[in-house]
Amino acid sequence: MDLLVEPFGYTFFVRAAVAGVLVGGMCGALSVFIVLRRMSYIGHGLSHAVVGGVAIALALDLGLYVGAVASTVVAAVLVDRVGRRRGLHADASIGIVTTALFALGVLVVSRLPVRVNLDAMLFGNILAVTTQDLLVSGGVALGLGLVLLRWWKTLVAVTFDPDVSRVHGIRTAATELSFNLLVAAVVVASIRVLGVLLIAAAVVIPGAIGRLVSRSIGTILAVAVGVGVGTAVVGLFASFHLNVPSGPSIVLVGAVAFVLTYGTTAAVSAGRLRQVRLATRESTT
Amino acid sequence: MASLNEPPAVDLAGVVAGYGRAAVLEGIDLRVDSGELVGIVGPSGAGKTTLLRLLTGEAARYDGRVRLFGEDVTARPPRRLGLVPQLGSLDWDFPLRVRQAVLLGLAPETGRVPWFSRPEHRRADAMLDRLGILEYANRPISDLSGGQKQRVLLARALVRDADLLLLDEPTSGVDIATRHDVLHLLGELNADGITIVLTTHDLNWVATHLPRIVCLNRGVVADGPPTQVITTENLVLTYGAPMRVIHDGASVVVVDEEPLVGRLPAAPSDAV
Repeated sequence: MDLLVEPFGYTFFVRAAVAGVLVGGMCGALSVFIVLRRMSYIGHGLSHAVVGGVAIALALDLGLYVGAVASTVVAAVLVDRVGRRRGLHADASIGIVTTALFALGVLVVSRLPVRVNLDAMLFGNILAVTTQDLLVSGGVALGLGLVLLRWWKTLVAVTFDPDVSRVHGIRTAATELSFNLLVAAVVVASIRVLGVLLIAAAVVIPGAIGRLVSRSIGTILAVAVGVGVGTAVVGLFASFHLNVPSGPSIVLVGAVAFVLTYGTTAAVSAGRLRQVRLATRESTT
Repeated sequence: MASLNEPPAVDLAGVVAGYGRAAVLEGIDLRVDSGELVGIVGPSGAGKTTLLRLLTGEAARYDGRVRLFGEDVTARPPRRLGLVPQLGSLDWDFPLRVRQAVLLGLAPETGRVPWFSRPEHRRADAMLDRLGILEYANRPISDLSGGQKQRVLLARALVRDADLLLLDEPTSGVDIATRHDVLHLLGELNADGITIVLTTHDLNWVATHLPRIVCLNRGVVADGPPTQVITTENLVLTYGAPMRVIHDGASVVVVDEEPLVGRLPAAPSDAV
């Protein structure tokens, strides 16, 4: 019991837990669309772009969030524009744009006297969660929630069939760009807890687990948000007690949940198949 | 039937269109009146899909006029248009139930809450009933047969009260029974006053059943009733290959000029 109660005696953990719940829920909700749109690479790409933006912003003494927001917004818009060019798909667009921004950041760090705590930035650090981080996470979570409530049907329609959605009157280009910007906002809000290298997994695993257990998009969303929050909380406890960075801890908990779900659903499917075979044999004999 | 004052459902005049710098269609003149059922045939690369994309505002128009119901086609297609894409262009493992997929046709005009209203559900169910798949309303779309999937796409287009349907290869990848099914369904919808323009590779299907055919090969080669349009000369101009046309009463059948059977060695006989 102490294992569960003790961490809450520390203010930093309470802050991290609140941020973790918000970040886990946001990543879980977005992961549904990221998995269905087969854009798993976007989280990876945008988080790399953050490094470039943050490095440049710190060099100019502008603060972490200014750089992160600027670089992810630029990356999201460019990914959208480049990906619309005939013959280029989203994966190529993400690969080119975000890696270029990452390279720019590395170049800036190597040339200017910038002091960046790369470990915390890459892997997350629950000790470093500030009130400002909580405000950013809360604001993005509120915005994401409102967007999903207002444009849920539009997002589902565009994800299922963008061509017909456009013909039927939905502004698909604006929807897709808005979605990329939402992913960018969630990536920025997740840096402190997850770290830029591990955000990619957090925006894929919950949706993938939801996909394994349900064939209804509403249920998948509920499962993904639950998994996102659950893995973030369990991962933060593990991070606290094992004294390891929070990002890897959360992602590993998610990976274990995925393996367990995969195994369970595979076993259930095999069991159903066995039952059908038995019933077929009995009916023919 | 169209009235004299009503503008045509589809009106193309002197259209040159394509993608990038390459013109795929040149000098297209085509008029489809309200209530018509028209099949567009032609070889791969003839511009059939481009013609549909022109009507939906997706293909670039370099010259000419494109109007639907008297209005110029812009980047925002008219409200009365319903598009039915090829079955193979969609991810049928997408986690949707049949009713949900049909309701998505109402997504552009629905309220600001994340669920559809009761009247919208009733509209979707009425359309599913009309198309004979109401009993599958709660099934995942991944569980449907080809014909049922085709009906779901038709229901999604029609639930928004579209009165012009564009269908891209509706018989592509479906078996003979499903093809027959789709044809009769389209016939019923057309009898209810819906204008239908479809593209297909299936020459005999349209030659046998549709009242009007347009042979397309970058331009309109022939346009009219099958008995007039389906001639050896027109087919050579359209497909670039000789075909034999057999007249069977009011319908026509097209066969290859040089069938392979008879020119290959005979199969070994069982009676040896």
